[in-house]
Amino acid sequence: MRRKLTLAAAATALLVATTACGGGSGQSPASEAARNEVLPMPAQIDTSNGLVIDGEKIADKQLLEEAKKDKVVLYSGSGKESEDLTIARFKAETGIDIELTRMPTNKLSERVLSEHGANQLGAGVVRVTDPLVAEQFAERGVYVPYKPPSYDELKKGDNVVFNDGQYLTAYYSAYAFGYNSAAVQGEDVPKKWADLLDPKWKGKLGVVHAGAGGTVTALAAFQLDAFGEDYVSKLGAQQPRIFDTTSVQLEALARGEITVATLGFNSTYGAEVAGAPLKLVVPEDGISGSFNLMGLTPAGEKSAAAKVFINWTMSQAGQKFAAAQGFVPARPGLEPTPTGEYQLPPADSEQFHLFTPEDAAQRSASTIQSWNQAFHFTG
Amino acid sequence: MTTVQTRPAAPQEAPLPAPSGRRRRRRPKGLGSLPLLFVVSFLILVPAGFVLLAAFSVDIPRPGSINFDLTLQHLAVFIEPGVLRATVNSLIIGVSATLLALLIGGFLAFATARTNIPMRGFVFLIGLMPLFLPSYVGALAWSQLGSPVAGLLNIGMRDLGIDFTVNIYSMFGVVLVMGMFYAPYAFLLMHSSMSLMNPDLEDAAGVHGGSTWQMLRSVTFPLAMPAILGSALLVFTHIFENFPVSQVLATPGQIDTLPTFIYRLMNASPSRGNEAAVMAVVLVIVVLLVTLGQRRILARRSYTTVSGKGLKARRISLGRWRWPLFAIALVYLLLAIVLPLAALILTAVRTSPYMQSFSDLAVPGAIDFGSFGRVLQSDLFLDSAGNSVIVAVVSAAAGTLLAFLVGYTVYRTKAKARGALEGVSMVPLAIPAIVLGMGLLWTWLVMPVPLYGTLAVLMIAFVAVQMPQGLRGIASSIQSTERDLEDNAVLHGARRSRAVLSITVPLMRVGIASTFLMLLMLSMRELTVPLFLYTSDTHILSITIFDQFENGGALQQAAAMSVIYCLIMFVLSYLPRRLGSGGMNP
Repeated sequence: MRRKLTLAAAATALLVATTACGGGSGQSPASEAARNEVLPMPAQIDTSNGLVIDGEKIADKQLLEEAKKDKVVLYSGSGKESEDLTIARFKAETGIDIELTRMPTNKLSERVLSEHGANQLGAGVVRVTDPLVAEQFAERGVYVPYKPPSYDELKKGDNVVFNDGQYLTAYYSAYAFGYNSAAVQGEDVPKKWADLLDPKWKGKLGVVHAGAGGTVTALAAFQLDAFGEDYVSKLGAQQPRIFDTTSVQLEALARGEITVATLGFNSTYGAEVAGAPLKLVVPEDGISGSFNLMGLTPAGEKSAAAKVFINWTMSQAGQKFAAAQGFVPARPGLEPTPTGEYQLPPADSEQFHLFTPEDAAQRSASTIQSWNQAFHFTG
Repeated sequence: MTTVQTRPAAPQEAPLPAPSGRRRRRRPKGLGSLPLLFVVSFLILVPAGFVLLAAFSVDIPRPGSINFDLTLQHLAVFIEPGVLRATVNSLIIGVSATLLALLIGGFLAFATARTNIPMRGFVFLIGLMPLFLPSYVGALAWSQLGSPVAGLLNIGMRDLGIDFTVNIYSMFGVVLVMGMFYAPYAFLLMHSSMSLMNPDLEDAAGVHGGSTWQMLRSVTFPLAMPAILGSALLVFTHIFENFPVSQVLATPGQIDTLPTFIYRLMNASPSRGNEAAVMAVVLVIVVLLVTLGQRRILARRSYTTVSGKGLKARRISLGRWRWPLFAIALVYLLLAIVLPLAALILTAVRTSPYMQSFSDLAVPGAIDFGSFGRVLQSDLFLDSAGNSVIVAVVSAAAGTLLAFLVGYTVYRTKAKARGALEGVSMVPLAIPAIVLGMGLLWTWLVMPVPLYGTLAVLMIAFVAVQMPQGLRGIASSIQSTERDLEDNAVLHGARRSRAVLSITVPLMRVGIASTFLMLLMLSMRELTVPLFLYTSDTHILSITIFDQFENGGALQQAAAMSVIYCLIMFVLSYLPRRLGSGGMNP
């Protein structure tokens, strides 16, 4: 009994100690990477009269002052790694506080619609990866019209501004493939989509099923359009391991449980920067692109910080940082920014196959069905 | 750190039921059970009602768009390919893993309560320990250990030149992990029943010349029947609807189960919540039938074993089987605790996730213990840990109280509402947590009280979701406690409430303490329900770890956090063990 008491006391002391050594710095690895590794900080951040980054006005004086007392509440269905980097960078460039709630888009949509219906939507900005979900948000009034300072520039692009600014394309997600760089080297490295059909990858491939979200549905549609049903069937015959989420797949790839996988560009790049033995391929025969959409909510209409967040995201600085993370900027007319050693094609390039909101509305169901058949997958 | 909401969880406000029982001539039967039924129904049936509505309404019933346009078209989900296979898989996993859990739990309970196995105290701890490892964390640890290519066990065997591959992404793997991590529930329930067993009946068997085996078969095991059936029901339904383990281990092996199927329906784009709800409603019906069957079996006989007489359960001498049986307990310890924790620690300290041989670890810089320090200092961890402890302690206390009130009313009174009370209390067991989570979200968003977004809503949700576990725990204890003592006190002029507090409660302290412990652990581990209810201010540890594993690609931090999480659970578990020290320690 005494031994147990001693053990209990020791364990409690440890618990108290771990809790007491708190007041952590809050300097996550993400904030370090956001400051330096991904992209050097902008040369000029001027806050003498509002917020001006590299010559572009993000907020006027009044908005900035109000925003500094406020906090951005961001709900996002976009990848956690990239959102962590983005919010850390936003904080570093603007000095405004931001808080993220992240969950997969479909789950997020349920949550947002429920909170909104009960007039309890806490988020100022909601970001999703599925055009159908964004459209539903717009219909239900989750999104309210808002025009950031770069609005006229944004209008020049296709599919960037929706319903006169009710929601915007923040940037595009790119989807290609990659490999475990410790397990695959030299001549073995796949370069084109057809290389994934090589018998040597049988049982060693990873894919996320096409119904798991907008980005993977887009990939399936791209593969069907560009290479035909035959290609998708043959890929299915390679007996890949099928995952529900990209993050879990990435983890399996990093451990070498699978060797080659179709992958979201930005999340994989994030893992690579964090030290995972991963390499991406930008195949010449095309990459798949899908939408990353965001809008201001009724609560965001009253939040100066939320407005600054949208202004910053659509500014050159925000778009450049997105590009450096492995997204394709939505704002037209920007200089290309490399993603580390990779260079993604611009949104208007032929190499970039975008799955538009119209595509999503008309073809999602049939695309998922074809994919499921080819991979003998139920879901 | 987020502050605790001052508003106490609703169940604590529940009025005490007027215990009727033997004093029914002086009290109207069961009137006191009505307010209790109201509280329990409100906590459970309103969210369940949302789910039911979703199953048969045209649109998903969200706040602001609730309508009653009904349809049966969602039933079409049953003819989808894969539903039947998923159901069969779930049944196979449910039955096999339940048997495994009962076997492990029963063996350990019997060995510690009734035999002279070496180091009984330690073996008791072995039975309890997997409680500190949530099944989700256990499954993740096992996916690190037993994945066919990069699993640590497989790397180790390749290093040793053994040509054998462990594949945890298989039916066998899922059954093994589920069975191992649900065994402690069976162990706890059976241990309290076996240690409280009146030896007189067994002595009688012995005196009349029965062998030890005959005595066990005809007296001991039948007396333990309520506990065995209770744990079987509890464990089976838990496993049947367990989502995380299936998701981590079955999905990669392309084995669909009902929960992963429902999860996929919920996560389809657009969400097919209506169809998921239809499948959930059918699950509710099935489990209610099982509960009813269990009640029927138990209603036939009396299982009273605790009475006013002093008792000391007999210990059976194992003879030369002492050490071999001890070794079996050690194997369980190795598989359920030692290997998973070692895998998590290794994952937390490895600088590269990629490893081909254990010799890779000898390379300078391959190991870095810094991840533990970084996690311990992060605000995210500190906030989540604080929230988790507060939520778990409050909801376990409130849940135990409510379960006691319900259990007492159901098993000790003639209240008319007792059948309804028990039925309602068991409902959450049958609704997959993932669906109930959504029902709870809708409920507390619609309620005119501003609880949503606070820790209180998590507490209320946990009390509701864990009502069946609480009730089963209390029930097996109340059924084996003699009621005459309490009635005697009443006959001698004590008020019923006083008699309950000073006689029944102390007699049941072991059962109450183990119920509290079980609810505490369940709350600490609960993942699926808070997934819908948490907000940025109310992060709890299970969610944070899930987020890092599932969405964050932060395997290393998540592994480090999992280890610390287990440690916290271990520490917390001491509190109730001190409370019930008389019986909890063998």
